[in-house]
Amino acid sequence: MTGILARFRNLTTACLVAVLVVLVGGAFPGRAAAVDIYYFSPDSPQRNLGGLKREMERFFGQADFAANFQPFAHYIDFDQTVREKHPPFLFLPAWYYRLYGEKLGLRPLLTPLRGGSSSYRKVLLVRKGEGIAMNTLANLSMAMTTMGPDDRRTLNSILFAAHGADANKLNIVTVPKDADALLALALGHVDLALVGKQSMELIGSINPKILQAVEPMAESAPIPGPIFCYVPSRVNMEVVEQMKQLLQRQQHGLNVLEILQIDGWLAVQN
Amino acid sequence: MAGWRFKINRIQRVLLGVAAGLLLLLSGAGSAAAAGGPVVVVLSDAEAAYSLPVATFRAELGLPVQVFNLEGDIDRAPALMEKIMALHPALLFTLGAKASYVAKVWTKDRPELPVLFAMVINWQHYGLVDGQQNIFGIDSDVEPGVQFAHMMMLSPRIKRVGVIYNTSLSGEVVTAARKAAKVLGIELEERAIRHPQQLQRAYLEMVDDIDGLLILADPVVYTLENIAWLQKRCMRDHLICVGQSENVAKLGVLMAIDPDIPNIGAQAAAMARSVLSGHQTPAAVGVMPPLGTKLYLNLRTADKIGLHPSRAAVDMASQVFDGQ
Repeated sequence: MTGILARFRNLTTACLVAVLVVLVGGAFPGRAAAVDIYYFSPDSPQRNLGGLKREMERFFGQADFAANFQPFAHYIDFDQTVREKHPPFLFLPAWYYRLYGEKLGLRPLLTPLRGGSSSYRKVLLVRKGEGIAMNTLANLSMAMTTMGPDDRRTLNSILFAAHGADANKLNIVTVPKDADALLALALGHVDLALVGKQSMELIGSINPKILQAVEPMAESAPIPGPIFCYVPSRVNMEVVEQMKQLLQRQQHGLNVLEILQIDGWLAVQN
Repeated sequence: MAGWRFKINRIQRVLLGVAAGLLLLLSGAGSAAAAGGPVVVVLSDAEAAYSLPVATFRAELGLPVQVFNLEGDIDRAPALMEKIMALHPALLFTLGAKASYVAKVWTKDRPELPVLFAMVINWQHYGLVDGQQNIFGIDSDVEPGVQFAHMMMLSPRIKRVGVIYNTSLSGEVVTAARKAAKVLGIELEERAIRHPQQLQRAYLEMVDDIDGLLILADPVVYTLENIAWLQKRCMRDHLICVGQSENVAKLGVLMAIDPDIPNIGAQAAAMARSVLSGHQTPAAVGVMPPLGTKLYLNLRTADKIGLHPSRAAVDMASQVFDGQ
């Protein structure tokens, strides 16, 4: 009997809570549900994803724009979640857009600028004095951040084919960040490392000793930078325009450019 | 008659030749089947931490992969391994101590079957690579050189780093630390201890000569009491201290570096490819440190010891503890 009464009391409490939630929700009819923004940028020097999420949500909060900013550290995790949840906004590598943009219905909105450019370069590094040349790369191991499922084709087009080499003959070890690739090379765990030029210079500026152990062998052609996309079927154009203006607006206090470590945006003409 | 005998012999020879050819073909088919079998992942249990490394391994390897689970029960091993062996696997990728140990035992008489292990804490304790040439793996501890490099990124003043260790448990790590220190141009101050109670004396002996301390995940060093004591002393002595595991940084040690667990699958795929292609033997690959890492940084501690890392250095951390 006591059990039944207790259950009844629990049920009543649950109902009261539900009613309160509905009433409180009704008291703020203008408050929209938070918009999901997924972020995956393996070549960005910004690895503090917890801090990035906090600052981006604070930035959107200050503009009274309810957003759930979700950064991802790993490609698999990002790709799986995108396919399951279909977020309306995504910040992603250009290779992801090239491979899946059409299938996922992505539409480019903005592309970030770093050093005034919307593209970047990668540098192929070897340990000093190893005697490795572009024509002796077969079976060597190379550490780099992910460039997607068809990374070898991309690598040939941006770097190896121009030197008469073939990325298909390399054993690629994917690492989460450029610093890992650089350290794996410097400490002798891989034969080559392919790292973003900007990251290499940044790491070199805070720890010059690491760069002293390695030397550049070749530089890639310009690689298109990441793209900020939206999915037309998941968000109305009013919100898209609001997002675009918000990101491009220079505001006092929190600066989105500083948070994302970029120096501007380039609007993409659809 | 002689001709007949000769004739019989010729037929016998032809038959023998055909039989030998067939045998060769069959044995060739057998090895092709073995080489063409799937790569098998064996999990020690249903640990959630295994899911992303397995997904990454599968995606990066680009070969058929089948996953089996020991479900934490070593008694299931015989039935499970019989099932796995019937598939003629090309390689076993084992995650966790139980699966790795079972694979070692089951491949003792199958030296042609490579076993790649990962996520085994203190793998040396299980003698995983002892007496077998078919086993290779990924260490659960980050390479000391990576820890030194991050210390240097936070503070260029680092010249001498201390390390306290137990010779029998961490001899190999300290050898790697010496090599890395040489590459990075820092001096290593070493103190070997036998019991956890000897740590404080070892620390006090060298504290005046060092700028930083490498805290190893050595069971003799790594006790709750020792970590709590070291955390306080490092702060008091303004030392750049680096440990392993997020909790150590959360508790107040300046920084910690952990393996990036999902990335273990990507690294394992590259190592597996190297062996499956015949480019390297498992013994030649050996046990590699995890190449993907996560840096945890405690900015409250940095502030207390008067360290003001650059924004660029802070942004390299996967997680920052700053009281917010």
